[in-house]
Amino acid sequence: MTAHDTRSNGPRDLSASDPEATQVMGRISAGTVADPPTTALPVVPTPPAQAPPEPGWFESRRPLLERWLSPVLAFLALTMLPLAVATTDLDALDGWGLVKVLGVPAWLALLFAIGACLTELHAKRPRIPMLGAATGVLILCSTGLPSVVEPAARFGTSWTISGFVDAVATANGVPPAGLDARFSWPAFFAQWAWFRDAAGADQLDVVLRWFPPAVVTVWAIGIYALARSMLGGNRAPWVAAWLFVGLNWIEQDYFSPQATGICLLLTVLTFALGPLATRRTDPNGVPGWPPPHVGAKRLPLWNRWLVSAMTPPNRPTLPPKQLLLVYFCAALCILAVIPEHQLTPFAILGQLALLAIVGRYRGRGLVLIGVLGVLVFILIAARDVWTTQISLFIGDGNTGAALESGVANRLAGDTGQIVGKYSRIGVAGISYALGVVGAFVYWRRRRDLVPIGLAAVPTAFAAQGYGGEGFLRIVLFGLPILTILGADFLRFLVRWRKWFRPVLAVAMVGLYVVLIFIRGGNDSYQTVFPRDLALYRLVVATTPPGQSVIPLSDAGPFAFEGLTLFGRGGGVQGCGQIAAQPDPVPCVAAINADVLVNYRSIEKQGEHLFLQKPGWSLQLANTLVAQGTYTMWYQDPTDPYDFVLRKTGAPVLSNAPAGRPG
Amino acid sequence: MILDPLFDRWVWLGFLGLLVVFGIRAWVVESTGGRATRAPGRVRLLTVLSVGMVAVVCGLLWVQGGQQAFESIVHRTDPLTGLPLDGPAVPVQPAVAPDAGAPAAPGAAAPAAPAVNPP
Repeated sequence: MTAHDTRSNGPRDLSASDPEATQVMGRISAGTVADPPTTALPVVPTPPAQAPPEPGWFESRRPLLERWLSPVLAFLALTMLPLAVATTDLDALDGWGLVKVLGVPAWLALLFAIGACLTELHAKRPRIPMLGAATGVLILCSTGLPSVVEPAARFGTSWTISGFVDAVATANGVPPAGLDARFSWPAFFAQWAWFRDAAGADQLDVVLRWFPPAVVTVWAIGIYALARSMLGGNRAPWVAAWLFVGLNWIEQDYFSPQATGICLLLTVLTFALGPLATRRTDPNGVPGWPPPHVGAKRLPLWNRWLVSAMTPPNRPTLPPKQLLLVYFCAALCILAVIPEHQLTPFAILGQLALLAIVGRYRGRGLVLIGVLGVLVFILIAARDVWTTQISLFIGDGNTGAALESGVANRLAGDTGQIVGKYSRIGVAGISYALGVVGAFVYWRRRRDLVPIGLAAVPTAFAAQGYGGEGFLRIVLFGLPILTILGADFLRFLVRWRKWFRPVLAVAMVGLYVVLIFIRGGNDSYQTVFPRDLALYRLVVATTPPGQSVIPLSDAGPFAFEGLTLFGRGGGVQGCGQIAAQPDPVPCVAAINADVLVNYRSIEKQGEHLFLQKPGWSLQLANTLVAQGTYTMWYQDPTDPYDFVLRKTGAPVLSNAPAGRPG
Repeated sequence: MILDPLFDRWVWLGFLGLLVVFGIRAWVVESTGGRATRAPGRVRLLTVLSVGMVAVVCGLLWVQGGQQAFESIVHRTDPLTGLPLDGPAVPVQPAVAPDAGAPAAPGAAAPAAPAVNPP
């Protein structure tokens, strides 16, 4: 029937003119038997069309805002960074760390970066390039803030690893033997020695400084890819990446083998849960066997598990050549991480083994390759380590002592230090709580508990003898999965109640403030200045090989050059760190080093962590000079705590420029 | 136990061969396609070869330190000296037969009674 039907000649009524009226009741004459009531509905006149409400200021400008607000905020965050450098007073660092000395522009940069992320996430159609750029700015303004405001890379350990690279580079790629157990896993050092030589550089100072934000960016990409596979959606994977960056206080992202190891771990996990992922399904894609007949008794649980285990996993949908390429890359990553770091291969293989048992990926031979690769490497290439330090692998069986050394013994220092360390425990607890609640949400949605199992696999490290650092690694290796599950929980919250969105935005700001506080909590004794580097290079240039050169503590840059030339002291019972001794003079006498090096960071470490009196290192130097055992060979004119003491009468190479002789 | 470092090359070569066989098997399996049908003969041959290579590598590893490491881990002993890891730091001196005429140290335990049926 057309819109204008002219064939009808019957009586017309009002409804005929109504285009909405499609069925009209006929007129019933008096005296006739009434027909049973029909089901036709009475005509309801449509209400007059109302004019759409005038859009508000925000709605009328929403397309413009969605297009430009996030880039503008990201740009503002970047422009704040030079101001943050100018307004941060690193000389005022104390036990509270970086959070106390940061200027207003640094905090504004963080706020703008978070705003850039959230406004793009809130857009109707979030742009992936813009979210990626905003995430990069967020990392630079949070994890990378110390790299921005401090003139050189933090962490004495990262400088020591730079010294390992230097030792491998100067020995033409051959790691020195018998110097440090870490040289038995030399891939990272050899890799950077090769980069250094290929670039024609003789030091890696700039690389060390910018390594943390760069490597955390790579980690965040891995988390995003992993979350895309596990959670799906356009927004939740980005939230998972931001949550990971915000909860990553562990600071294993400095220039180190484990930082690269995490990149490889995330790559392998992304392969396993992405392109290689499978489900145990029947040929129609239904998980498990076809359901039993209606009313049939349900099979026992063990029977269902057995059936599930015996069901072959299906094939991924990738073409064979792509599948083979992914196998090759995954095997390459596993084999590459084996000679690079001691613990990461075990984390990868533990998680892959769990996924293989439950049939979640195709290519279970990767586990076999990894296990045999680890055995071959440890038994053959690292023979010197396991024959002399077998307890490193099997532990001493005393998890309580490891917990005490890893957690309880670290709760030392002044008030700022203590608050920072309890905050670390609190954030680790929040990470696990989010992960567990997220696992429940994930299970309700997908009936899947495997992800929380992946996060629990690294807890097995508590049983081995890696020392107190092992607990940091447990959190680090579990954090990717925990944050992805946590993002699933946050997504549930915002879908459940819309008012959670502003609450979570505020919580994100709070989380990142806490992150800067925790990560920068030790910066009073982890900040490195260029004058420190110059001082140590001067010592290397003027000290004859064979002399022992030691710092008063492990804070500050040390042994980043000339690692194999000088003795490093040590071996004296109870004198591991001179700065930690209530009376350092007997330890100095017992160690009997030829050269003693001190930095401002060591002075601050003694003051804020070991609770020494302010000026303790200068007082020690004066005592040693007064005793006549040492002479003040160099003291930096701008910083009296940067000094070098030489044993009285110890020879000094004269062809190098000397500082201010004492 | 003294291990011959020159024999290590055979372990490395064995592991390299294992990787090659695994790679060839993966290529053949993924290129064949169709999981509903029975595995072709060449896949079964490569599976047997893979298992054989795994056995060879495990055997070589066992000879080149695996046994030593296994016993050290199981018995918690030092791989080189064989002394217990959890024992005293200083090796226990071998017992010296006491001089028959010397007086016993005060508080010393009485000597154990001789076994009735020594093995």
